[in-house]
Amino acid sequence: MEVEGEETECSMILLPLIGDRVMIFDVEDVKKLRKLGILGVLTGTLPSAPQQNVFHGIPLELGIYEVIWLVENGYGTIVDSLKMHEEVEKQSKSEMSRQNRERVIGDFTHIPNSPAVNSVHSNDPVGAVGLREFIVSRCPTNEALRALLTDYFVFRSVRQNGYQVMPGLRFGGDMIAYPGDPLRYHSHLIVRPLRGPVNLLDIVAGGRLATGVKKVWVIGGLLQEDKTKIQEITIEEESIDQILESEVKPISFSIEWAGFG
Amino acid sequence: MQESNRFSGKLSKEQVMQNLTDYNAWSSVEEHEACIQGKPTVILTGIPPKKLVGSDQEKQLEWVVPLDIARGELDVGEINCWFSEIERISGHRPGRITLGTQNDDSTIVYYFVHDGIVKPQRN
Repeated sequence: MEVEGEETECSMILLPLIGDRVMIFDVEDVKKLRKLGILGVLTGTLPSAPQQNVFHGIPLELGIYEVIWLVENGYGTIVDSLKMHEEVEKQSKSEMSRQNRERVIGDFTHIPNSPAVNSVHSNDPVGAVGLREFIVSRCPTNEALRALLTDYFVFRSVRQNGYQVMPGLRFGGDMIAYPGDPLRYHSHLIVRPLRGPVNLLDIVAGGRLATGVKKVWVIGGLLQEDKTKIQEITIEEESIDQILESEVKPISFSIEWAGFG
Repeated sequence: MQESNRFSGKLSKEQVMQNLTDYNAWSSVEEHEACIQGKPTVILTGIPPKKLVGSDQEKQLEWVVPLDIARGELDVGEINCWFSEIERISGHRPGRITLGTQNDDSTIVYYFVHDGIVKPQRN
């Protein structure tokens, strides 16, 4: 928490896994993620304005593609939040007295969220969860895993084109993509990752909706060669990391209403 | 669905050609033989009466793929094939093609399919 400047730049962002979600409670980490163009979704109530649901606060919940992207690109490490806190608890007990850990402010006992213990902000934190382990825990079957990877490659290629991605329910897509920070720009793309063929009526509907809101409807999927590569992956093997590194490149097409006819 | 599948291709091609020529006033509407994923298909070209998009050139040749909506599904491999077939026919891969989709009530709607990710048009 108190680490600043250069040290912060090179240290990994901790991605605490709580249940099956990755949630960020540290505002500094939220800022770092935002700078990387990883937006997540704020899910907490703002203590100063609890009676509305337009603006939210921490925790920031990250989507699974965002988490994979962060780990793949070396910006973050997934940690088992429970294990990490248990470990910190253990260390704290031996290192300092209970009075030191819990500060009494007025009637409240204050326990810091992320105890500043060395093991927490290092590149090899306690309770680290491997990427493969994380992915497989979310996709228990081969089918689910292959679908996830296909979607992820589309997400990654949209990001590689310089777009920032948010969930797309608002415009009837799987993702919506912004040319910069969503607070400064309108979105350009409604993205539909394809795991198989797309219905022609969906093309018509998607294209019409997107054009109506000044966007394009983007479909992205894999060509046969890459599909074959994905079909060979199973949840048992170690090759998920290899597949992430491999040059699986989705192909995309942008659809809009032609304006005549 | 099954019933109208028998007509896909032939009917939509002729109706789209007629719609382009007579309703949308395109000129030089022509057919080109193509082979998409092993199946013989027809791709059309024509010249719209005025620019379809501000950034187009005057009298720009437009590639149109006629499709019957009853055929149901489409995958990225097939769309990619259209682009590569047009490249084979014309010598270069176009930035966009136009999809002429025909419904079984004879409604025809046109959609642009751009190659890759593009920005929405300014208008």
